[in-house]
Amino acid sequence: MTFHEKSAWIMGLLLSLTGFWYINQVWSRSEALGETIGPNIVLIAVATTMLVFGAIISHIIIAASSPEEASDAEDERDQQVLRRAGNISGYVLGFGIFAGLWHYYFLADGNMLFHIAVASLIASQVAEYALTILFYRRGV
Amino acid sequence: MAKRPPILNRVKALREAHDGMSQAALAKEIGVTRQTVIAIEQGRYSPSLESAFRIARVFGVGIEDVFQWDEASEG
Repeated sequence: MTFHEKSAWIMGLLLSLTGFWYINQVWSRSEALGETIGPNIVLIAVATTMLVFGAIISHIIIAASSPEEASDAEDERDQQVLRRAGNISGYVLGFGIFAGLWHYYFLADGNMLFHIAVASLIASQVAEYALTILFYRRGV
Repeated sequence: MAKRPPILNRVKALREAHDGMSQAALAKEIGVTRQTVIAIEQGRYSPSLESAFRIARVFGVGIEDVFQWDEASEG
C-alpha cells in the first residue's frame, strides 16, 4: 500500500468522523432552537483542530512505520490517481453547492446555504479520499 | 470503471531473468515507486510511454518485447 493510499484511508476516516460530529452538532442545535442555527465559528474551529491534530499524529505514525515510502516523491501513477480522484470529487462539490443555491433561491435560508456548502466540502473531500483508494486498488 | 488496460507485459519475467532484480531496484531505475512496479506487473496500471521505454532500456530489449497488445481482451 502506498503512502498516499494509507494517508487517504486515515484522512477519509478522520474527516468522516469529524464531519459527522460537526453536522450532528448543527442538526441537534438547530432542532433545539427550532430553526437553522447560524454559522458557528467555535464549532468550525473545534472540528478543524480535531482534524488537524488527528492528521498530524496519524501521519507521523504511518511515516515512522515506513519511512522509505513516506519519503518517496509522487510518481506518474500517484499523479494520475490523485488528479482523477480530485476531478470527480469536484462534481460532488459542484452538485452540493448547486443544490444549496437552489435551496436558498426558494427558501431564502442563508444559514442553511452555509451549512450545505460546508457539508458539500466535507462530502467532496471524503469522496476524493474514497476514489483515491479505489483507483489505487482497481487501477486508473 | 477502472477497466483493466488491454496490455500484457513481461516485466516480472524479465526482472527475474535479469539476475532476479528486485522490484525496488527496477522502480529506482525508472523513477517510480515500488508500488507502481507492482501495479504494472499485475496489469493494473499501464505506464507512460517514457516509463515503458525506460523499462525496456533497463532490460536491454525492445519495447514490444516488454509490452504487447492483448488481442483477446479486445473482444
